[in-house]
Amino acid sequence: MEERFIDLYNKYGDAVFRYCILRIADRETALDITQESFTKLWDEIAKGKIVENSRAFLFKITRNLVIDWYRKKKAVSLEEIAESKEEDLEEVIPLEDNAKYLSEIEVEGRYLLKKIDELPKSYREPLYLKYVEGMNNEEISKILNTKESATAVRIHRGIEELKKITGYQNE
Amino acid sequence: MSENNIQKGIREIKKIEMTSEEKEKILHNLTLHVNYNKPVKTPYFKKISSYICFFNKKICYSIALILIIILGSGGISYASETSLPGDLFYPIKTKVIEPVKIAFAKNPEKKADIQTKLAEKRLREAESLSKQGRLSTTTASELNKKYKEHKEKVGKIKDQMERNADKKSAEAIEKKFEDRMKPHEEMIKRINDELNQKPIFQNLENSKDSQTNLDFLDKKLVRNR
Repeated sequence: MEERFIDLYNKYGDAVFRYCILRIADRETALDITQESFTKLWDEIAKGKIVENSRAFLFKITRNLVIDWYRKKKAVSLEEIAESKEEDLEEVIPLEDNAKYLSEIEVEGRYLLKKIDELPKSYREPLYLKYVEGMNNEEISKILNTKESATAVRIHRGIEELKKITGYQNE
Repeated sequence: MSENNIQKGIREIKKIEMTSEEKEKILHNLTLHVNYNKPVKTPYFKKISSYICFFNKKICYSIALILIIILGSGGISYASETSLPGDLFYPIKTKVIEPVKIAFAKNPEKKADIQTKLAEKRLREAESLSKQGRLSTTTASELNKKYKEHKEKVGKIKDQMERNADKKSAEAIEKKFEDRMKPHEEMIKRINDELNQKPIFQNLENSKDSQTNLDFLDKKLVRNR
């Protein structure tokens, strides 16, 4: 079980870190949350929880930790944040702003993130998870607590919108 | 813009990774965490088996069977939680469920918190038994002894924190302990008075327990240095 867990870290560690740093900008905090995500995943496994889809479960944990972090950071303006967690994160992802500090991303990557930022908030995360992390609709639905049909619609509309605002002709 | 641009953009985004040092550091921490937090069945088994080992082999299987039934049954588990000394399930509560709770506490603060709650529970049990007219001096002494044990363990954790220069946490633990015990002062005073005037089971226990005076009210944590 331990070996399988370490395999999961080797497989998804970078994806979790990427998800965090694009939403948090601070490298140390992103590393902390990455570690905490895996720690929590292990705690659940050790408690006997049967995890059907490790990646979706892991990202769900990560997403909640990012939301918690953001809530703590922005405690003063909490009233402005909607009650729903889903709404919260979509509200708070300045992907492109955060990407400015990452030397790995060049012009195209930054442009793509900038355009994702311009999309209606309910499209941003499904698109990111679909196209950057290569997840399927079922995984995305589990992470975002939405129905698969709703996820499919969001992705479809999101990509259409993205084409319009970028001039991309194909997905 | 074309599909190539999208793919290029995605590839660039995917270049965001941890450095190998960062990856190694987290891997090291996770390995430590995994080794210290083995799956749930291990601590349960250890705790339960350690108690079973006190008994001889003949009754070992029947006790194991009873424990399996009890631990597998939420209703009986709940019943043991509300049981009092002398009740059928009381030993399950104090010898199985409570030690497991302590074993599961992740850090010293949690352990102190659980020990504080257990100390308070012993007071509540004394109060409940007294209300029902079932509190003998023997039972009171036993409860008093257990209360002291819980208190001593909280004291040890507090001392350790002070040694680690974590004065704030040490003070918080001490305050919590005192705050939780304070509401029981009156009742325990009354119990003390009653027991000293009319010790129950005097004939059987007089030499040992007739002068039992519960020092439940001693809320100050024991120094263990």
